[in-house]
Amino acid sequence: MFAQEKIAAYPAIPAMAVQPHRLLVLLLVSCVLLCSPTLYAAETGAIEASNAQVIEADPGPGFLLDGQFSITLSPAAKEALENGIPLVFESQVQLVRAHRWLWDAVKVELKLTRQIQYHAISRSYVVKDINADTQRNFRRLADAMDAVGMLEDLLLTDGQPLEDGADYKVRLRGSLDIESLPTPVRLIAYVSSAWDMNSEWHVWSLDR
Amino acid sequence: MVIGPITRKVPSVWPMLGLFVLLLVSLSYMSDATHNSEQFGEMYSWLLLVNAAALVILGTLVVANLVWLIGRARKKAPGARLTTRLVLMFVILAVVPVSVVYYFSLQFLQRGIDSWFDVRIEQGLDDALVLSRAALDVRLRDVLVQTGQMAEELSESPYSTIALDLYDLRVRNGASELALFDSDGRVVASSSADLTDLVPSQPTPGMLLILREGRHYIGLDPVGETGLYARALIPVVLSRHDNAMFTLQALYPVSERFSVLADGVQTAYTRYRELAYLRTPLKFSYTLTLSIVLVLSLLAAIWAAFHSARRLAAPISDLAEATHAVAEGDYSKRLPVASDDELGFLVRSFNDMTRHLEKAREQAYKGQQQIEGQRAYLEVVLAALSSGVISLDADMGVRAVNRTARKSLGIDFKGYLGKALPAILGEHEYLTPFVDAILRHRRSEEETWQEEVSVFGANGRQVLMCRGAALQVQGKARSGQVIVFDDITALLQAERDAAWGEVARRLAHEIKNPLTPIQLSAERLRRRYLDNMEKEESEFLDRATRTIVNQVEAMKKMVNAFSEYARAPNISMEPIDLNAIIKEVLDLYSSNDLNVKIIIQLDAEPARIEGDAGRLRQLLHNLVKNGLEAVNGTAGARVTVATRSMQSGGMDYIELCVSDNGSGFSAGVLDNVFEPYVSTKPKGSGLGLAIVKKIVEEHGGIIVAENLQSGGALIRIRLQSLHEDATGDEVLHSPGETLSSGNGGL
Repeated sequence: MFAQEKIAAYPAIPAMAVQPHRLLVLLLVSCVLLCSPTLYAAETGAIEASNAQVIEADPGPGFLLDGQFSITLSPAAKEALENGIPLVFESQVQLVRAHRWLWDAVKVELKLTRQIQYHAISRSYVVKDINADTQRNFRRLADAMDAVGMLEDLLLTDGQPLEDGADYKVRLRGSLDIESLPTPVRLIAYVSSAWDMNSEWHVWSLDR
Repeated sequence: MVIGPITRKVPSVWPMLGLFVLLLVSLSYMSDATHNSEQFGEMYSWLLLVNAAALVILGTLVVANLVWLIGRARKKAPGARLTTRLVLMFVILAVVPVSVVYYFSLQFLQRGIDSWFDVRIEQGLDDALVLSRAALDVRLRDVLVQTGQMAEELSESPYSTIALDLYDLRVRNGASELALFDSDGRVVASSSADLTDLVPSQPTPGMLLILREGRHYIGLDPVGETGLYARALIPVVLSRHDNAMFTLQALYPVSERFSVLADGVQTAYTRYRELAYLRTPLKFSYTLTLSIVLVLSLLAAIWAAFHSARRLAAPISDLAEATHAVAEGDYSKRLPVASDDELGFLVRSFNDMTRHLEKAREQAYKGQQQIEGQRAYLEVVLAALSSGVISLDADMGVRAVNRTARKSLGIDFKGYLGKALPAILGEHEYLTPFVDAILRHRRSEEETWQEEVSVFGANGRQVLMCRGAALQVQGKARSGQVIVFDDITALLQAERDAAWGEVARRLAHEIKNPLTPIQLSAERLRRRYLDNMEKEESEFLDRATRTIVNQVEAMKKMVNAFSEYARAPNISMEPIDLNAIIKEVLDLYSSNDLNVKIIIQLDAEPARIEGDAGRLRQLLHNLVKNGLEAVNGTAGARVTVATRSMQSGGMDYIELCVSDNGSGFSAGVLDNVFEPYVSTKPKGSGLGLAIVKKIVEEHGGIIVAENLQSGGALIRIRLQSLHEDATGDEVLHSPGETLSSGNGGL
């Protein structure tokens, strides 16, 4: 259903390293916002990989991943969504070759970007898959969020068969992309826990 | 002299200006980014970061400058107070207007953003949305009715022709897509106006749930850029296919006019809601941007204030520092001329002034050197003079004394320089005639004067030939004088000795020679006529010739004695013990039958001197004989011979004193007692003491005659003693340093 963006990278580029300035901006804005607690203190949202499974692709080589992020929007994010602000979520899936003594090597990396926006006239939520340029409409927010967090038949392959005897791991995580928020909201999002929606890496070994 | 220009590192303006321009660009980008423009939206975080970094750098610079200024102010460095004042002034000038602008900008900003929102507009948009929905609802109801009719038609259709029936229905009803799903949601058949779209749009789980509840679904679907679609989902029971349950989905395009209008309403409504939602964050981000601009401007202004104040104060500090240096006598400071303004002019003038001062000081130094040189030269000349020179100022203060003068007068003038000349009489009373002569001539205000002065001091009798000249100093009523004097004692003595020698030679030649013929003639007369004469006449002749012969004999003796005195000495000096010689000579007098007691008081130590034993014996004989003759007929007569070693003026002497208790020297002869033919005795050649003095002088000693207070005469002789040095050799101090009765002399 969703197209896959395939990135083969070696060695791994940590996701946080892509935007190092975030930390610094975070520091700066947090200093400024210390005096505005209303913006700062809020209920938090969450993203969790609720279930995921990998099956060997037929025909090979590679694996097919099915998974689901359960996304709970914080009230602040929900308010923004209902006021027409589009929210962008990113899912990151990696096939990793584990080394005992060395850094893990990322063999395959996929990034899925999805946007959700409220459509007032139709009273529906429009979920766009940015990678595939497709969209679906949902009457209910929960359905829309499920669609945002759904991973279906993602093919993990770099075109090469896996090495025998090597340990492979699959890991995935999801996050709300603060950088795609409108600038004024972004400032708050940098420091507010209400906007801090990042799942931990969900990792499991590949059994062959 | 090394000229040390002050170099001060004044930071250039260009980096600062560059930084400011960068800051401005960054700030303007940030302001654009705050407007949420697409171009800069992405850069916003980076811009924020860059500006934060600039903030930190500027803050650090300002703090560093502040610390620097406080440090200088604490040290009371020159220019620190001026810099502080200038900085304060600049900061106040910058802070006040910027703060005012900030305050009003903030006000405008808050009100400006608030003014975007209007309850009426909001209401209008809400109404527009409701209206749109209502209009679309009408269309949706039509669609639902239409789809219901299609479902009814379809329920009669056989399963095998479903696909064709769907096509037929779609074309007839103007739907864009018709699809039939089974109960599991799988597509059974579909027909689409868009031939490229083979897979029909899937109903969402929410829609299927509604159907499962037995209701119909009707809704609007915004589909990409193509506009709005109405979606209807209705259950279909295929009667010819075991009454199986299916779902019919129909997609109808909303008419383009509707679609465009609805899209406009949707866009405006969403935009407005978004803006309304963003109102607070927008205010915050604008305020943040404005505050960053303010803080950056303020920090930049403060830094610029520091920079300008330092630039302004630097030449002034330099000037203060250099002036301080000049006040302490360092004229080598040169200041860098940094500008062409009045300050530059001041610095140039200062440099000119120090240059002139330095030149003047150098000239003064050269002049002083010249004067010093001349003075040193004069001193050398004065020191080389064999005459004594004393210069006095108008108040008789001693200004300069040369070496010869110090030596001649036996005074080290160190303690008397600057004091009045009569002050020396306190310790050197014997110089009274000398000082008196100078005072006398000063009173008489003569330009030049000359006088011979006799003084009796440690060196014995000294005759000084003094010449004085007034020193007229310009513009002063009274004048000082310079006194040049020569010790002519030795000269006079030599003249006198030479005269006596000449007399002796003449006597020997002119008198002694005729004496023998006179004596012979008298004896011949006597032999020839004495026997032939009458007794009376022969007695007369006898008496007369005898007298002649006796007197001639006496004259011969006298002349011999005299020539003995005048004879040039032929002495051989060797180390001897004076005491031993005295004992030896006095032994001869121990058996004298005169009633004179000879007392010997010799020093316990041997009196080691260098001398001619024979001449010294003669000296002792003369003195003892002189003494014995002087006490002849005196009751309790005694002659004392004493020696002692003594020290005076760093020199070792042997002093020999021969005294008697006779009548002493009469006042008239005491001054000239050592001159030949000066005697107090009725008998005597008058050469005894003259010879003694001659022998003493031959030995480099001095002799003094004086009367004892208890009565009697005392002859005091000082002879330089030998003393043994470390090597055992006997060393004699060079005579004449302090003992000689006169030295040099013109």
